[in-house]
Amino acid sequence: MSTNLYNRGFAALSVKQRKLLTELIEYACQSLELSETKRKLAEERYMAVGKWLAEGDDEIFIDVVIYPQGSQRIGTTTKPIDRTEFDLDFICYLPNAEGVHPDSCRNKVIKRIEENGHYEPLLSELNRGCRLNYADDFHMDITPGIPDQNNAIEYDAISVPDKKLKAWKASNPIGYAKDFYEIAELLPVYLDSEGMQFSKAVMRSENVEKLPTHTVFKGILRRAVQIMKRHRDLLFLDNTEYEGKSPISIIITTLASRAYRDAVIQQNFSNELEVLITVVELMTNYIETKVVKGQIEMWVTNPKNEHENFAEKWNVDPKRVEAFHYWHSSFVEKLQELASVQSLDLIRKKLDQLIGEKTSETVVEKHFERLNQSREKNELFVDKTGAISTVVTSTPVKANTFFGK
Amino acid sequence: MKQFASNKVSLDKQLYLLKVKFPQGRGYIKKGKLIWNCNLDLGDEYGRFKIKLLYNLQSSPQVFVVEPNLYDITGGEKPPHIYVFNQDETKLCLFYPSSGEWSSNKYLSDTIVPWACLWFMYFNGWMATGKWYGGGKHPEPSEEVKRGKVL
Repeated sequence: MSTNLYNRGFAALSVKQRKLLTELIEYACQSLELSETKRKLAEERYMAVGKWLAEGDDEIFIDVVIYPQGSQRIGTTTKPIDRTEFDLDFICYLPNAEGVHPDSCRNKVIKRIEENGHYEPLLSELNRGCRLNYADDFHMDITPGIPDQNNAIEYDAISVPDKKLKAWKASNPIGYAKDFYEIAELLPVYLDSEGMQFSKAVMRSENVEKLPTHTVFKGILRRAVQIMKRHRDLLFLDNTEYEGKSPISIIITTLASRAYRDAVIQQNFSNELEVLITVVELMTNYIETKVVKGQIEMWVTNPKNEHENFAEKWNVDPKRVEAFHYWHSSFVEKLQELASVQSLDLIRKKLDQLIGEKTSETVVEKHFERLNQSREKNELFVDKTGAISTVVTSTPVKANTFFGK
Repeated sequence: MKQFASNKVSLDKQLYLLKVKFPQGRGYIKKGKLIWNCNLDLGDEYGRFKIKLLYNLQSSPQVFVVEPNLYDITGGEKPPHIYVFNQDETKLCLFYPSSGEWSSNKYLSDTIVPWACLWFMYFNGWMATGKWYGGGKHPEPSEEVKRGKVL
């Protein structure tokens, strides 16, 4: 399949314009992810919980380990749009809890956490485990896990309790993350010099030129997932029709990673934006149709457990399928609109609709911050046409102070 | 700092350098006054602007935006760092007077024109978010900047 969306809009843009959009999307994702400070804080906190559990008297806590799963593990955290707390997911792995009933295992973990006066006020129950809510920072969802009980054939498979089903459910957060990591590390092949520069820069994780309007994605797949999740959060905020039915992150992440894997293996690209857009366009091809017990079912298969359908609920709730396609076509449309405008203020308006007003303002601010860093270091030059950049000309922009009302 | 009349750059030399650095500009000198018009193309994201520069050796250079009409673009809302802003004219404030940033022994093409380009970049930021990212000084503490705080 050709990259239609790219060719319809972005291919006609100037290189500079595409780089600006790449830069702005990168800034958006940077501003949406968990900050380094909060990441460390989360680490300290989950280690402390692990320690507390390990000191428990019950023998299921022998050799307990807590580790992150989901977006935090794969590096696609995205700040929620309507509150300040990030959702961070953890597995509390209990190698010694085999043979225990899932309900009892789950209850023992909750009870042990509750015994700590510090955690007790932060604690609430979830279907698969419990939540510790650290206001303004994040909430930690802790799911107990034990060695595989579901005859999984994949490495790193575990089982997690499900309260509703009263059973152990297959899961494989480590395997899923490894798969994602391997795909994310695949680098696209770029055809022309524009792309080559980008490709090399990606490998060195640095900028090719020092142009303020020149930056690269920190891993295109991760950025693609983050921006998709963000648009979902924006689109379904206050949407009553699809309340609670918006596409779950693991579906978006799985489809995007399949599309990215195949695209970078099969195609060449001229720039990063083309890669991103190709992933968006191809991802729906990875929704499968399977015949299960005489019924046609839609599947988004867990790459690390062929029996697990991430889109299980789609088959009993058509509204969820609708919501997914509503989101996908909106995302495509907003991207296309982004390529249809040129001036910074119109780009900002289009970004508002893609990622939300607040984030898009932050993005513009960051863009000028970069410009100002160059200005302070006297690294700005003006060319004959009047364009300012860090490309050296015979006319440096000298220090000045804008004055007047 | 001492300033000697002899250090002043002549209008002829100013015009010559403006032509060298911005060949698309057109200007002349009449009765001791330099008049120069120039299209500045800052690229798709920042747009195209036409300025008029007026200068004589006895006073500070004046920069007017000729095209597009900024008053129309902004719906009459005044961006920061402007001396005159109305339907008929827009005059930019590009440097802090008495600071030595500009003096008549400097070249317009090395100072005033690049600063005008820079002003247009920040104007775009202001249009996008209502904030002025270019810094600067205000002659009086302003309640003027209604659209947002000045960074």
